[in-house]
This record gives sequence, C-alpha cells and structure tokens, in this order.
Amino acid sequence: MPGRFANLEFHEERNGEETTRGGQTSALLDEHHYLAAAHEEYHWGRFEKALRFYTRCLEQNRAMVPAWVGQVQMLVQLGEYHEARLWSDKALELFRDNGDLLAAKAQACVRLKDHAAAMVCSDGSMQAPGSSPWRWQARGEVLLARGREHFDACFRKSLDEPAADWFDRVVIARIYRHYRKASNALYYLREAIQLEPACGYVWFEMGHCQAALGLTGPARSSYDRCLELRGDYGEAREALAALDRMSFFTWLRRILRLRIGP
Amino acid sequence: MQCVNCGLENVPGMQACARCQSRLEFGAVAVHPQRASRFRIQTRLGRLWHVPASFIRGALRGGSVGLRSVFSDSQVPWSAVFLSVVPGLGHLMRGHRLIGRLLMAGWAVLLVAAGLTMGTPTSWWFIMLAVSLHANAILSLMGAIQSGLGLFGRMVMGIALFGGLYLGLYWPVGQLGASVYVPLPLAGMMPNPVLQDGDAVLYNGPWTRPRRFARGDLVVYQIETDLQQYHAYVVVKGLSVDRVVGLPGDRVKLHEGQLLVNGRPPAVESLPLGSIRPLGSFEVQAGPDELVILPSSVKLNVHGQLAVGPAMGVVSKVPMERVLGRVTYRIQPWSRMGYVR
Repeated sequence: MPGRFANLEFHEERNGEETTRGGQTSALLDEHHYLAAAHEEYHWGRFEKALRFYTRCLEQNRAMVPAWVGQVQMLVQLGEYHEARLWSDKALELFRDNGDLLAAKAQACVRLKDHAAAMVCSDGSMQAPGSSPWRWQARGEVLLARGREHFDACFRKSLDEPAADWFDRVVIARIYRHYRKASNALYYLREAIQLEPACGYVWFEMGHCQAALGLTGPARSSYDRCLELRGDYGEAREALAALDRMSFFTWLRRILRLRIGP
Repeated sequence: MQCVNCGLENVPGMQACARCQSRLEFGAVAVHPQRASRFRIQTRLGRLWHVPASFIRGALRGGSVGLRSVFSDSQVPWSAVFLSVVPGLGHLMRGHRLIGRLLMAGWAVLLVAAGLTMGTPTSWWFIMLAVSLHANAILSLMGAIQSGLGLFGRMVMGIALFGGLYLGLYWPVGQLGASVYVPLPLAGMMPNPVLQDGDAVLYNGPWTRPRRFARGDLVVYQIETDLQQYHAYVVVKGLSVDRVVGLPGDRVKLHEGQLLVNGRPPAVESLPLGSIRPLGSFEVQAGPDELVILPSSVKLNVHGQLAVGPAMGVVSKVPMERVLGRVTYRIQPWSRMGYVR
C-alpha cells in the first residue's frame, strides 16, 4: 500500500517468530519503528496489532507519550473502556496533565457514560499546553455524547490544526459511526477520500457507514474498492460476506420496502 | 534531564519534573495494559452496571444531575424507550414507521389472543410472547448500549429486561385486573343447563365484589366443610359455582327433591344449577352472615356410609366471606361466550 509509511520496515510475525523484511533482529528496531508500525496498523483498523506495537514501542522507550496515548486509544477502540480508563490513569501518573492523555481518558470516560469525569478531563486537555487534533476530537465526542451543540464545530476545529490529515477525518467518522450518525460520518469520509483516495481503509469505513444506512449496493462497491486497493484485507471480505448474510428482519424490511415503501 | 511532558530541563538525579511533577525515570514502569478477558463475567457485568452506576453517582452528587447525566446520553433515545410502554410507539417517534406499526400490531394481536384464551394455559403462553416482543422492542431502541456488550452481556440484558417487564409491568397489571374480574376454569361440574365442564367464567374480584347477594345469584364460593362428625368422608373442598338459594335468616327445607324457602317454593330462576334429589333431605336456617347455597353442581366423591341429608345441610350453609363473587361472563368456549344469568 503506497501510504504514509510505505518506506518503513515493518514487523511481520511468522509462526510466532519475529523477523523483519530486511532480516534485522527486533532488537535493532527502535521505538520509532514500532510507533510507525503501530500507527500503520491503527490506520488500517487493526487495533489489536496496533496495541501490541505501541507496547513494543514503550518497551524500547517508556517516555514515548504518543505510544501511551495510542494504547489508551486502542483499548477504547477494542471496547475495553474500563481498562482504557485504568491505563490512562496510570499514564497520567507518569505524565501529569498531559493534554493528549487527558483527551484519551475523556474518551474512555465518555464511553463508560461517566460524562462528568469526561468533561473534566476534556477541559483539562484543552487547558494543557500545546494543541492537537486529537484533543478537539475527544472534546467533540464528549459534547456529542452529552447531546450538547457545537460538537461538529470541535471536529471542524480539529481539522484546522496544522497536524491534521486525512486520518483525522476517519477518526471523526468512526466517532460519528459509534454514535449511530452514519450520514455525518459519510461526510467526513468523503473528505478523507478526496485527500487520500488510494487508502483502502477509508473505503472500508465508508462501506460500513453505507451499510448502516441500508445502502447495500454502495456499501458493496466500497468494500470492493477497498479490496482492489488491498487484496489481502480480510476484514473487507468478511464485511462483504456479512452483507450477504441477511437477517430475517433485514429481509422482511427489504421486502416491505420494495412493496410498500419508497 | 529534560521532561518529556513539559520540556523543562531538570537538574540531573531528580525523580520528578520540578514543573509538572511528571516522572523522569521510567525504569520499572509496566507497559503491558491489563486486558479484559472474554470470559470475565465481572467485566461484562461491570459494563451492564455503568448506567445505574452513573445514575447513583449523579444522585449522590445532587438530585437531578444524576438523571440528566444518564438521560442526556444521546446514544440511547430514552424518550423513545419510555414511550415503548406500548411497543412500537418509541419506534414511531423515531420515524421507524413500519417496524413501529408491526411491533404494535403484533403486541396487540398477542394481547387479544391472551384475552380470548383467558382462563386456559394457552393464555399464559401468549402473555409470555407479548412480554418477549415488548422486551425486544425496547432492546432494539437500546442498541447503542448493547453495542458495547458482548453476546453474554446482551443475553443478560435481554433476560433482565424480560424479567423486569414481567415483574414490573405485566404482573402488576394482571393483579390489578384480577382485583376487578377473575377468570375461573370450571372442572368437575355436574351436568346442568347453564354451565358445563370445561367452561371458563369471569367473576367479581375483591374490588367489585357485591356487598349483598340476592336469591338466584350465580356465585363462586369456597367449600371447606369438615364432615368427619357424620362418620363419613366427602370430598367437597375447593371452589364451586351455584345459585344462592337462601339469604341470611332464611329457612330452607329440602325434602324428597322438593325445595322450600321460608315455606314456599322458590322462583324458577332461583333454583340450583343441578339436580337436588341426590342431596337427601334436610332443613337449615341461615345465620346472620350466612347464605344457603346447595352444592348441586359439584361432583361429590362419597366414601363409606354417609348420612347425606344432614351432611349436605352443613355444606349448604356458606359464610359470606367464603362467597368470592358473582359470575358475570362466560369466556370459554368462544361459541357460547356471553353474559351468564
């Protein structure tokens, strides 16, 4: 995949033995390689692998704040909200009032429905020195979960940050999809595709959103497009298969829509 | 030694940053996060617990803040969930018209079926199906909470919702209904022109039970008479249905199949349901809180030698508190459904 990290050496796991493409041993890889590999896996929605690489990165260098943030984010993406909150607390003991860590904790709290704590953490992240798209995204999620206005302004603000790129749009889309606002997610995914049309994962996410909206045909096209760009992406194949496995209610809804609905 | 958090250059040898108190040495810090086990029930229950927990936390902090913190969660359409007291209404409110109408119609059909089969075991199954449909309607609205749960969590949530709905809504409503009218399936009835074995009737519950009865009223009453003193054993315990023959103070005489109330034959519509000839001969006077009801519709299970007349005289005197209510309506079979007089 000609992406952001196409020229980096990535870790491959073969039969439990770890080697690299260039034949280097894992000891020679530094934390930056692992961080890049973790980001790459994250960008392909492989959160379990990404979490492992973030951990490897920290094994090399425990002072890598992005890896701590990444671990908490991955735990949240894996649905382990309690663990994410515990881990963010631990990381915050090491890096007091770090803005990105606070934002990650805010996300964990909001997924646990502890809105008050989420708001406090988000406030703390915004007051912390520096800025990043992630803090605004977490802020947007907190406001979205609380049913407050201006959450979309936060998401737009995150994209105005200098460090923002196409993947931040995907992150926002994932947040929207989590809160069952697939149409909002589609808006950001279209922007992401305009910026990075060659990234299959954006098409994969788009397929999810279209499927959530009942647009089975376009969803199938999006998954196909993803597979064109990366043929070995098994998740897209599974998603395509899932589209074909219609539940009874989906079938009934489709039949009734065909007969009496618009 | 530079702090990675705030960038301050600290004096070498310090453990924590002088400005932000972040750690400067990370030698023994664990970097492997604790993971949730797929089979750790505690974690799954913990996820189920978070909604009531946030409510309790909020309540402890101060009243309505708790409610707001839970119900302001835009993931779950709480207003639609509460509106789902009638399944489908929440879906209609959310704009899912087809599913809403289907749910509502299905629920109504099940309730009507339960009503039509009231007094039979089939009715219970229809009620259970209605509760299941109701629980599913609510669960489908709470999909956002479910998305954070695994299969086990969803199962626990479904069972809890089913149990909660049954115990919190259907059972109380059923009890309320039974306070007004009670269904009674009839079994062991002697042949008579009004009621037959296998019929089901409705009679007054505690709230609608008449204070006074009239001669000829068809009533449900409880027979609990000890006949041991008559050197015989007659199985006549349980609920029975028959007409009131005598009111408090009335003298009732039965002799060779002829019935006299206060010395006169009763009106035709006040005669007992079944044949009175097998009841023998006796004469009783009802006390101030007693009615005379001849057990003509009960199949008597007689053992040994029995002085039938005196024993039936005892059985016929029924205290007022054992008269449960007036039979008003026949609900089974459907072909003969209607008021009973």
